[in-house]
Amino acid sequence: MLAFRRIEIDNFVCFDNIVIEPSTDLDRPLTVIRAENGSGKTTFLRAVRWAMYGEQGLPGNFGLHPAWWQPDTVGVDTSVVLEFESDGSSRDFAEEAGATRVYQIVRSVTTIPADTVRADDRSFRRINEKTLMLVQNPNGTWEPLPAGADIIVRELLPWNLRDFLVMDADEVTDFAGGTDDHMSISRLESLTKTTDAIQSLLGINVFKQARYRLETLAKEFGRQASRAIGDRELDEMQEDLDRLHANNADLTGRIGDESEQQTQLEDDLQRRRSELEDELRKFGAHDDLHERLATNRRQHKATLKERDRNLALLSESLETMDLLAPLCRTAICGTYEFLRPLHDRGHIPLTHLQFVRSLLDEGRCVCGRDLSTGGEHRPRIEERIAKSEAAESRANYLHQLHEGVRTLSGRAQSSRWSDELANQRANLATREKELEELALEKQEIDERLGQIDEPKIRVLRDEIAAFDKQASQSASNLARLQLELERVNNEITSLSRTINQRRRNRREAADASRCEWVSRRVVEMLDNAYRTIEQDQVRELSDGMHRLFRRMAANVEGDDHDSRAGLRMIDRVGVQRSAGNDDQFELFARNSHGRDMPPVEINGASRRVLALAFVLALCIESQTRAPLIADSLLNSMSGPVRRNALRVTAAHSRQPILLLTYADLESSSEIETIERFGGAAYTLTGQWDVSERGNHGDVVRLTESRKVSLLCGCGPRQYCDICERVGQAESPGWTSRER
Amino acid sequence: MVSNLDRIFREIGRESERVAAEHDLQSDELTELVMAIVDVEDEHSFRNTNVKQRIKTLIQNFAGRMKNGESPEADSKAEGDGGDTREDDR
Repeated sequence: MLAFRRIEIDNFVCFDNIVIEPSTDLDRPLTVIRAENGSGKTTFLRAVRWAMYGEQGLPGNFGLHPAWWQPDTVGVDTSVVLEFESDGSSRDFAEEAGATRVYQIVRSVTTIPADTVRADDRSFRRINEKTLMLVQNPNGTWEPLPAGADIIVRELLPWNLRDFLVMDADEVTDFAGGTDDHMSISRLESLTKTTDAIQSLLGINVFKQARYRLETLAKEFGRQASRAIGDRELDEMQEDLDRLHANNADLTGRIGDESEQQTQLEDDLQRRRSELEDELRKFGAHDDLHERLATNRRQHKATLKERDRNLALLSESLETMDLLAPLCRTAICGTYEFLRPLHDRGHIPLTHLQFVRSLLDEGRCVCGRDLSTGGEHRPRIEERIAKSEAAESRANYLHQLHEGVRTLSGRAQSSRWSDELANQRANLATREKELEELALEKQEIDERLGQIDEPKIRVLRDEIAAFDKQASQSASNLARLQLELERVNNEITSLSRTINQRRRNRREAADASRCEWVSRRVVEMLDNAYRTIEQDQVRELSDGMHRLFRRMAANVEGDDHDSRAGLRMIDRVGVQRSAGNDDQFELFARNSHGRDMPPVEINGASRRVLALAFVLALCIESQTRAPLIADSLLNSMSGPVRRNALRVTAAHSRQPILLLTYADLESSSEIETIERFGGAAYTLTGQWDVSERGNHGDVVRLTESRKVSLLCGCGPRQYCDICERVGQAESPGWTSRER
Repeated sequence: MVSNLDRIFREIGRESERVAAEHDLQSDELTELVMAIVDVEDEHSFRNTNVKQRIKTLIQNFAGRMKNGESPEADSKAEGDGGDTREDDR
C-alpha cells in the first residue's frame, strides 16, 4: 500500500511554493486538481517525478528552475518534498513488517548559470543535488533512514511502476500504441512497455529472475555433486579400514590378555619374592646358625681336646713320683735337712767346684779377692779344685741326691699337691662345663636349623627364576604387541583421514545432490506458478480490463467523427501474448468480426480508454494499492466516455489524483462523481492567463506579477480571487469561495 | 516491492502442497522457502545484495533439514546409488 500525504513544491518552473495534500480517505479517495491547459498540470507531474526519481524522471535537458529566475551568480534553490505512507515494505524495518510508516523524500538542487562565453547565453547547470529520505517516528519527529534514499525509492516507488504512480496519460497510451501525436512509438517499444508492466505488477519478473538463478544454482550443485562423488576406491579402503579395526581389536585384546598375564606374573613374582624374602630371612639365620654350629663344633673339639689333656695331666701326675713324695715326706725331708747344710757349706763340692771354676773364669771371688792369673789367691783355689776333682764322682752323687731330695722336699708339701690337683680338677671341670654349654648351644642350633625349609627355598628360587623368565617374555611380547598396535593405529589414522575426506566429498556430493534436487523442485514450482499466473492471471487481467473498458465505453451514443475505429466498434479488449513472441504481451482490441485492430486503426480516445482500462485492471488484479497522479487522463474523450472513465478511475484506484481541465468537468455527471468520490480539490491558475481583454476563460485578476502558477483550494465549481475566470461568476452552479 | 503477493503466495502454496505430497515434505516449509527466495530476488531488484549466495544458503538450509529425515525419497535421489549403508550404519 502506498499513499501520498503531502506534496510541497518550491521554485519548480512555474511553481513558487505550492502545497497539496491529496485525500487519503479510502471512501473518498479522489483528489481533483483543476487546471486549464498551460496552467502547470504537466509541470506538477514532472515535479513529483523529479522528487521520486531525480534527473531520470525528467525529460532530457529539462530546466526545472523558476521561469522568473534570471541567471545570476547566486543561483536559485529548487526543492520538492513528497510525503507518503507505506505499509512497511521497506526491509529496514523488517521486524515491523506490515506496519504503516510515513516517509518524506526531500529533493533539492541549486541551478546556476553555466560557464558561458556569450553574455546572452541562458544555459544553466544544476549543482548540489541532495536527496533526503526521512521516516517519521511515532512521536512525530523525523529522522533520516539508514539506507540511502535511492534504495528506498527503488523499493517503495519502483521505476517500472512510474506510469502507474505518476501517469502522463499521453505516455500511458504507449501501452495501446501511442497517441495520435505520439504514434511514433514502435511496436517493440509498446510490447516491451506492456510486458514490463504486466511482469512487474504480477511479480512475474521476480519469478523469472528467481527461476533463472535457481536453474543456474541447480546446475552448479549438480556439477559439485558430480565432482565430489565417484570414488570407486572408497569401498576398498573401507574394507581395509575394517580389517585394520579388526586387527586393532585383536591386538588390543591380546595386549589386554598379555597385560593381565603380566600383572598376574608380577603378582606371583611379588608373592614368591615376599615368601623368599621371608625364607631368606630365615635362611640368613640358617647361615648364621650353620656358622655358629661350625664354631660350636670347633670349640667343642678344642674343649674336648683340652679336657683330654687335663685328664692326661691329671693321670700323669698321679702316675709320677710326685705321688711318692708325700708318702715319703718325712724321710725325704729329713734327708734334705741333712744334706742342705752340707750343700750350703760347700760340702757337696761339685756344685761348688763348678761355682769356683766360674769364679776363676771371672777372675774375682765372691769375697772380692782377686782370682785372676798371677794373683796370690788363685793357686790356693786351684789346689783345692784339684783335690776336689778326685772326689768329683762322689760329690756329684751327693749333689744329685741333694737335688732330688730338695725337689722332692718341695713337692712333699701337701698343699702344693692339693692345689695342683685342685687346679687340674678345676680345669677339668671348666672344660666339662664348656662342653656342656656347647652341647646346649648345638641343640639350640639344631632346633632352629630344623625350622628352616631349604627345599622350599630352592623351590621358591626356582619359581622366582621361572616367573622372572616368564615376565621377561611377557614384557617382550607386550612391547612387540604394542609396537604392532601403534603401527596399526597409525595406519588406521591415515586411512581414516583419507576415507573421511572422501566421505566428506561424498557427503558434499550427497548434500549437493540434495540441493540440486531442491533447486529443481523450486524451479518446477516457480515454473508452474509462473505459468498459472501468466496464463490464468493474465487472462483474469484481460477479462478485468475488458470489463472496465466496457464500463468506460458504456452508453456511447455515437462514434467520433474519425475514420478510425471508435469505442463502439471495439467488441473485445484485453491482453494477449504477442504473435511471434511468446514472451511478450500486448493489448488488443478486437472488432465484432474477431479481428484484432492494430493501433493505427483505433482512434486516440479509444486508445486512451484502452490504456486506462489496462492500467486500472492491472492495479486491481495485482492488488497494487498505490496513488495514481494522472495528467490529461480524460483528454480526447467524449462526454459519456469521459464521465465513465472518471467514475471508473475514481472507483477503482486507491488514490486517484487527477489533473483535469474545466472541460473534463463540465457535466453534472462528472460533478456527481467528484462529489461522490472526491476527498480533496485544488485549482491551479497560471498568472500568465490574465488578459486585459477579459475574454471568456481568461483569469480575472493578476495576483502575482511573476509568471507563476498559483494554487488555491477551489473545487470544480468554485472560484476565488486567485482562480476566477471570466464567465464563472455568471455561470450556473459556480460559487465563490472565500480564501 | 513485489505486487500481487497474495496471488503469488496462493499459487506457490498450491505448488508446495503438490510437491510436498509427492515427495513427503512439509508443504509449509516448502512455501516458506520459495517465498523467501522470491523475497530475496525482489530485494535485489532495488538493493545490491549477494542474492546468489543468499538463495544458495536458503536451499542448503532446506536441504540440510531434509537430510535429517524429512525426505527419504529426496535422500535416495540425492545419493544416486542408494547411499552408503555402511556410512548409515555408522
